[in-house]
Amino acid sequence: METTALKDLDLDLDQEAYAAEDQSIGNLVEQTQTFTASEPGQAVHAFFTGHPSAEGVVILAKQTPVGLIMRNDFYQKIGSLYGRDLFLSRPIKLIMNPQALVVDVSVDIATIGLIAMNRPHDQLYDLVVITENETYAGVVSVKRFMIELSKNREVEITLLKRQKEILNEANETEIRNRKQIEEKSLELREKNESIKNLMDNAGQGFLSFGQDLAVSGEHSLECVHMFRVPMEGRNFLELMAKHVSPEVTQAMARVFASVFAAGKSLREKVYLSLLPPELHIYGKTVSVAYKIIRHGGHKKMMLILTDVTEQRKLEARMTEERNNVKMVAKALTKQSDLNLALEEFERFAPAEALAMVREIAEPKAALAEIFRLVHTYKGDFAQLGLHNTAAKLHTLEDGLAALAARPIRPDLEELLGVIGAWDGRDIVQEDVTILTDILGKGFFEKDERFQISAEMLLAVEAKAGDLPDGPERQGILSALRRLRLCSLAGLVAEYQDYLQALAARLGKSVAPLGVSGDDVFVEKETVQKFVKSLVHVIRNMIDHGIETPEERLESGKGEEGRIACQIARVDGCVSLSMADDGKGIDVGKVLQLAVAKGLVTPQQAQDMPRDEVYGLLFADSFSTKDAVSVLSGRGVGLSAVKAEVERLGGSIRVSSQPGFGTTFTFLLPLGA
Amino acid sequence: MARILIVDDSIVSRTNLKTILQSAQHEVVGEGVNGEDGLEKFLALRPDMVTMDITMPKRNGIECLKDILGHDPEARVMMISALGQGAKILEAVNSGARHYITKPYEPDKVLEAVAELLSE
Repeated sequence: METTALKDLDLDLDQEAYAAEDQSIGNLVEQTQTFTASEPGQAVHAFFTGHPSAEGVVILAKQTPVGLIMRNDFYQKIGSLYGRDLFLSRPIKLIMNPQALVVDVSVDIATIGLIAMNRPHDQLYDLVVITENETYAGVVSVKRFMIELSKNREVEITLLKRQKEILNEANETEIRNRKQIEEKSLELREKNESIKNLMDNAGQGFLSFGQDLAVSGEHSLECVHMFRVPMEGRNFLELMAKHVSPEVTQAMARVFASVFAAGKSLREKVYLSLLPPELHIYGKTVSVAYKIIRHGGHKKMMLILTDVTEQRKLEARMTEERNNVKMVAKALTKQSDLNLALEEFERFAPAEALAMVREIAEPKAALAEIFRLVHTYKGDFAQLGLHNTAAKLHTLEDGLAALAARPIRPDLEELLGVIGAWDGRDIVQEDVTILTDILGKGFFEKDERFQISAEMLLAVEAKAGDLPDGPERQGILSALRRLRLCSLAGLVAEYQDYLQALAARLGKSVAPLGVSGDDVFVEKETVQKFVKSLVHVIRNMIDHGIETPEERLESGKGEEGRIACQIARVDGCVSLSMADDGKGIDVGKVLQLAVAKGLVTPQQAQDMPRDEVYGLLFADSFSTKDAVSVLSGRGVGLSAVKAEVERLGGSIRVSSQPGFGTTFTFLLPLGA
Repeated sequence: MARILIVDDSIVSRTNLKTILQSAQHEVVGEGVNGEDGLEKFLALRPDMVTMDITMPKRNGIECLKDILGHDPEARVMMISALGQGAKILEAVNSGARHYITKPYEPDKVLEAVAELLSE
């Protein structure tokens, strides 16, 4: 075989060189100056000035590397406009690269080389920071690294030269061996290509393990980049232990055990969802997708790890914004719930909670009860969108849980101390501030508003009326009267529920009542009866005007009928019109019925103008429906409206277009 | 659609959940206000499934879950938990809860989980 032949040619020297390539990075590690993050840029400047050959320095927190400053980057930043002032006197934290490449000394040279060469362009030649058992051990210069690699290459070249000599000497094997060399270089080229592929795919880490939790050999380079240590054969949970709390490790252990034991797929899904979706590994936020792969009869867990540090920072800001918008929307729709919850909670923390603890007296039971209540408040506030408050309550809850789990349980005094330090107002403050910033102070000033009955107001008004006449009395009286005014649109809008209920009973589909137009404020007492009588108009519109959904669809209309109210000020009067988009008034039918009821003679009916026909609708005991329905047609209907309008000195106008709807317009002399 | 029993000590949560379930034509046949009440209502109403809060007075959600399964091992119970109760959920699931959702929840998530549970 050719390969065997090649091996036979190896010299001792070559073996050493090849062995060196497989070794760890240990013998390439150099030392450089280290600093702490709070030292000023000046200190680094002094070091670089004194050591012109130093490529960069490492920033440590205790013994752990947290950043790197390369000479070139440093002077580029210092050299920028204001850079000197900005960075020389301020902490180097501001100037360092917190995402420098850090790997454990146990990772092999080839892997480190690949990761290093896969860095962003501007960081390609940055020092690689080396740790040993999490402690800073030194740096590897990429320059030195390349020299080392090329030394190996030299060895390789020497080897090839030597081979060639031998080949020349051994004539009979020459051709064969040349072929070998060609094949060898092809092999190398292929190897290079597959490495390139790996590098191209970097950015996501893949690893998998079976029931024994040992990471299999086919994990991607990015995993080593993230965990900084060789992974193959390592117990996944042991790898994790460094980065998550013992509780999480324990929970993961139990979940993995359950997953490997579970049969049903919903169960598997439920279990997987209990695993942490994100991990924090050496300051990076890594999102994890867990997949179950079936291999014959075996299950394997596959983890896909993605570095989402930057993404999360951005998202956190956007989420904050979105949460605030949600909170405002919820606050607007659930104002009374929110106010109630806030009031209750402020009473609870700490006054009621303290009272409760004293009452229960037994610390363990009291703690459990308080924990439960805090938990419930947390849920309620979260549901109401007060996300910051919920987060704060979560912290309180954690504190209580820790207290309960402590070997020495707290006594009553300590419990009272802990709870006494709570300030309900302070806990909700952040969210309340956000809400008031957006909705205005008035939103929470509920307790500064109070309801007064009309009776009380009239009594005060009567008293003011007894004052001696003068501009002062007039002022007070008109101010008091204004208190009694209410919005006409608001009064009409109260028919909303009635309209929907009625439509439902009649099998009609009607859109919510639309009220639009000018803001007109009126004395409630004056218009109340009139507004109440509008119920007949609405009833007639739904009963006689709006068609059934089927009829509407057939005549090319929307399934849903519409009733709209328009309010306008017209020359010192108020015009209120109610319009529907139904089938319009059937003049023939109205006349037929009027004749039948003896309201008009057949002769009168012959050439009666439309306006007059519409007038008949308001006559006492008139109904256009063939059969008297439960809802309309009792003979009081529209005549009651007419009576109210006349009482106010107003007038009614009706317009109707067959197939398109009817409009009732009421002109009222309300000098508003 | 399914007949569902809600067990939760917070009226805000119950009302909210009820609205969500009813929006998908589920029938909320009853509401339990604590773990003890939850079991009684379950036995009296025999719902198709139960939604179960975890932190509750008298008997908590996991105890109530176990009580219910003691009477009917096939009972379909979905846990409702607050964030950060992973260990509790795991305990519940290992005790026989079929599914769970986390507060605060979006209506879609609730209905999705309910549908998954019911179709199992």
